[in-house]
Amino acid sequence: MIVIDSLEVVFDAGGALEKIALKGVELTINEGEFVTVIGGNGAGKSTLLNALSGEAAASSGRVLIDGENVTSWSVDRRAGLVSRIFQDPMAGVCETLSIAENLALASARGRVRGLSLALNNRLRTEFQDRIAPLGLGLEDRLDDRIGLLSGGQRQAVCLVMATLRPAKILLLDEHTAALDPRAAAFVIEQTKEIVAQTGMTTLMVTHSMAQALDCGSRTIMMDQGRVALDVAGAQRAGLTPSGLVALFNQSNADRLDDDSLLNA
Amino acid sequence: MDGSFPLGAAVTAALITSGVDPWISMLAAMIAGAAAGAVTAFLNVRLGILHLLASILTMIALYSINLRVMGAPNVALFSEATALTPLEALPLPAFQSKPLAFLVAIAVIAIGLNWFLRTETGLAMRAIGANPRMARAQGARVGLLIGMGMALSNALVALGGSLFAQSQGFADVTLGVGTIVVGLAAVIVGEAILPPKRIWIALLACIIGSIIYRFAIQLALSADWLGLEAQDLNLATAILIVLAMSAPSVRAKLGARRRGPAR
Repeated sequence: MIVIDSLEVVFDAGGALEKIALKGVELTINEGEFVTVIGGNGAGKSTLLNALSGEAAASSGRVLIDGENVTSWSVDRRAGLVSRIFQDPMAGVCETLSIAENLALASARGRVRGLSLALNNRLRTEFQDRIAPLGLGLEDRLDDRIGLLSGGQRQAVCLVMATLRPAKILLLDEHTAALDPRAAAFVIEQTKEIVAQTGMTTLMVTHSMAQALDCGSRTIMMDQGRVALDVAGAQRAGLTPSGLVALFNQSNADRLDDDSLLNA
Repeated sequence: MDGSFPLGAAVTAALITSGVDPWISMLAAMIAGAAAGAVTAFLNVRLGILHLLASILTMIALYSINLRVMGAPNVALFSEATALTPLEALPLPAFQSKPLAFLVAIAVIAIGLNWFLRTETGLAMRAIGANPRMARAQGARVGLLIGMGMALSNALVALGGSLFAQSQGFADVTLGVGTIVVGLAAVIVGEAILPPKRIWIALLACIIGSIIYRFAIQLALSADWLGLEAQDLNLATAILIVLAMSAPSVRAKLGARRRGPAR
């Protein structure tokens, strides 16, 4: 279970460009939940993800993963708990290394790395078995440089890399945003399949409301550094993007009413 | 590098002349080089100094340290027994036995590196070079591994300095000038000739590149029709590196022109 407790993230605190990216976010994600996150630019979606991965330091509040307070943990220390896919297909892989070497890096995620060889036949077989279901024929190209693959192929390999070893949460940061529509649809299909297969707790940021409602079991909408809307279950079933916007406007109006009451 | 090379020579020369076993002196030289590398990594990782500047700072600091270590700008080793002295017992002239010994040393180091760079730790180190953010997200301890990599590479540079001093019979504080450029030239020339698809090929490319570089420079300097003399060495090296490094972009531009204007 992931618990985010009154989390605040401030960039350039005290500086001229001070920006409060997260203003006291409260969020509990249950084991095995697939949560999609939407929100406008600057709403705090990516900061939320970065706060979970350790890239953005919390100014106050706590992040708990399975009851463990990881708020002060560095990115590499959290790597055993958190796996992530970046928006940029270049960012998630080492272009100059082979597919097998990238997978080998991921297979040691969160583990102390020793002096045994990073690749062996057992691992190669495992990689082939894991990468074959993508249907890209990459299982026969393990020694090709990953830089030779297209963006969609890379993101698909990233999915395998991120789920190769267990993690407490899988973070997907608009991982289809940089892809053409066909590749994006392919990667989303693979995402659903792999998440369903591994049952990993997942947090996916997306800019597409349709995608947010189409994937996963719960959708949250971020606005101005807060969780503005949180829908799941029956309320979410059958919800359309316009319905979601209506819900958001409704909750926004309610909150404004609360504020005006407080100020009165 | 420009500091670690003479550091290795200085430590070896100082220890051998004070009667320490040459093999232990070589080990000490490598440890000193590793320490210098670790200092550079510390300046970069912990204190946030730009990597290039961090290495320049270590380099100029080492100039003073090397003078201190030797107690003089240069130390002669002609009359001392070095790790290479046993070679004289071989029925080969020195100009054959020394290169052979170095060939063996290089082979041993290359085999070691070929193994290390394929281990989990070595792979993580390579990943940090290629994409530090990704490596960190995979749990690689970036700062620590940069330190280890710097220590390892500078230990090897110091070993090179140590062997150089022993084979040439002296250590001099100015030995290191241009080492980094020569190293760079060797890597570039090597990779141009032998595109590195695997680690052992990359290692081989470095070795071949460094030899070819020496030949090329020697050839250029001794070709009378070019009119180059010994003092033109650094200029020739710089031009060679510029040519090698600009070749890909020049080639791309020429290729684009031939294919006609871009859309």
